[in-house]
Amino acid sequence: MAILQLDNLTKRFGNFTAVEHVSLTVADGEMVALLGESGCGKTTTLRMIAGFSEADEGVITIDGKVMNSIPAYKRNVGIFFQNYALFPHLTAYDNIAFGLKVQKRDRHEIREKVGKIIHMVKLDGLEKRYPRELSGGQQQRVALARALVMEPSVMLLDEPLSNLDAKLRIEMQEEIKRIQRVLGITTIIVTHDQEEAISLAHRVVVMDKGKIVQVGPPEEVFENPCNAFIADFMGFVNIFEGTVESVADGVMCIRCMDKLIEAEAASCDEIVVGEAVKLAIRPEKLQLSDNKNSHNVFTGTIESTTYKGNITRVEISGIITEPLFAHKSDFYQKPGDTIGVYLPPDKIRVFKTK
Amino acid sequence: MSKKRNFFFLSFPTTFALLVLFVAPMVYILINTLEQDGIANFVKFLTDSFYLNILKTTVIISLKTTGILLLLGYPTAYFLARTTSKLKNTMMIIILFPFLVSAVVRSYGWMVILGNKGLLNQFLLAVGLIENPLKIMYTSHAVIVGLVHLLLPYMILSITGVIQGIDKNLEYAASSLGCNPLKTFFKVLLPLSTPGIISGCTLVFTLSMTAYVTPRLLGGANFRMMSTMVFQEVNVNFNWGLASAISYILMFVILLFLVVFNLATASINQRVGGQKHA
Repeated sequence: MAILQLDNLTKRFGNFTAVEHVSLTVADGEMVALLGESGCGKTTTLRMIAGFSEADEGVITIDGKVMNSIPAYKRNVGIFFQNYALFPHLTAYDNIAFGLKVQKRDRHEIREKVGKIIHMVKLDGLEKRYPRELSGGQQQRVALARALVMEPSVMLLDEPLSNLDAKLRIEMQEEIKRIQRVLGITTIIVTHDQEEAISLAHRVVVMDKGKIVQVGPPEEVFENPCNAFIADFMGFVNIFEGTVESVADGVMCIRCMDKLIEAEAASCDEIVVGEAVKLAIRPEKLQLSDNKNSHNVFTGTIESTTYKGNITRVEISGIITEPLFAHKSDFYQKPGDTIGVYLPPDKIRVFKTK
Repeated sequence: MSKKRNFFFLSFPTTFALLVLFVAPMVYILINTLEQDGIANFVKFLTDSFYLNILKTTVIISLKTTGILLLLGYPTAYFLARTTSKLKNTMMIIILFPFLVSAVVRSYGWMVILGNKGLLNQFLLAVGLIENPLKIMYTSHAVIVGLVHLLLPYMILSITGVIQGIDKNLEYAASSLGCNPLKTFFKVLLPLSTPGIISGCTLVFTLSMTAYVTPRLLGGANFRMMSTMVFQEVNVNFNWGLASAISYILMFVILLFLVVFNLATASINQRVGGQKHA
């Protein structure tokens, strides 16, 4: 249980700045997700917190204690590796008891603690198996238990779910969330999967090119990304350019080619008339064949449809330069059909073009 | 029903060559000896302290060489396996470089360095660390130096391969669980790299037990190891019977040590980590 603080953290590899002036405070018991594409610096940040890599600038503190010069083995920071990194020469039990044995804890204490954590991660009966005799999900539970049994002050999870199949992923996601909430361990999870970040964390930190670009609760980052990059990352598949014609009463009129699109001005940026902007809307927010509205209704042609099981992805052309994508369930129209498209003004996000 | 493919035939050329060029002569030599003198040559060797001392010298020198090679080779191998330097491939080639020069040439090189008026003694005298030249040439020390130099690549390459296969994250995991570098080495790295240690030690021990050129040139005419004895019996004393007895005893002793070595590592391994080796 601890407060983790990163202050102005910077890491360079030669001329490449992997992490640049990252400052972040993680509250006691909070779970924060570092979200970004590969190479955005999230894993480097994690490695600096764990003590595997030294920061070039900045300070890492846990409960006010400066960690920079403290070696990894004295930090009491638990880490979960993407590939689990279980000791192949040890049984599940010995993997989990490893850290306690290193600390030369009392035999009974070790047995009690390991037994408890094994029960918590639901590994009962598998203690004597070697990692190679366990399934991916079970290996993951061992890795989690091995870190948790040390009662770390801070827990770091590096892409914990990326190696699992879809079904197991959802199961483990719930599991990690449950355990984190029960134990109340200050946790940082690194992921490139927005869905994972949003469903697990109390707070999402979006990183790009080594910098933090947005911090906020999951709903906020998901609904109101701060720029077109984050929007793209958060699943705003339709992003296109336009010019602001007017701003009045919180409604912007934006010209895209010959179309005038209205958008409600909920935006991080201060936008003025005449400015070039980017518009973003999620594919599931597009309404098709809805003619009740007078504004923001356009007619296009279905270019292609892709059945994805729970939804159909519809590609619509002829409205703006780029095709627009819509996700609809129970969609039965065919490519070549004309279709009415409604863009709800409150679902459109507007960003400055930079 | 699909027939199970058997790829044994791929090893036919090697198997054939080994049978014809190695096993057959060995059997032929053994039969010849036994027909001529019975087990007299074996008895002679095993009851005469002169011969037994030669065996002892050979084993001790080989064990020392193996030990030194392990201590020198392991850190180098670890460095090579873990380095991210662009020069890694160059370093690998440099490690292999000694293979390009024959043992004979290298032994003469060491003579220049280790002799009474050699570079080493001249240096030590000049610095003032010694007053009289050290006698290194034509002693077991010179032989060990020569063997270590000769066999280092085998040890390094055997261990490097295995360490490269050990996930670096295991070391990170150990350190996040409270292991300082020393504990990480003994609890994680060492047990997982035993296969490399076994194969490296097997190779260098066997090669130093059977080395001829190095002991002959650096040990001198009066320094005897098993292989120089075999040569002497064949070419000087024309006692082929004794020579084949010596070579059989040498082979048997090597096998014995390899078995002991394997068992020992397996048990250490089990105590350290519980891993079972076949």
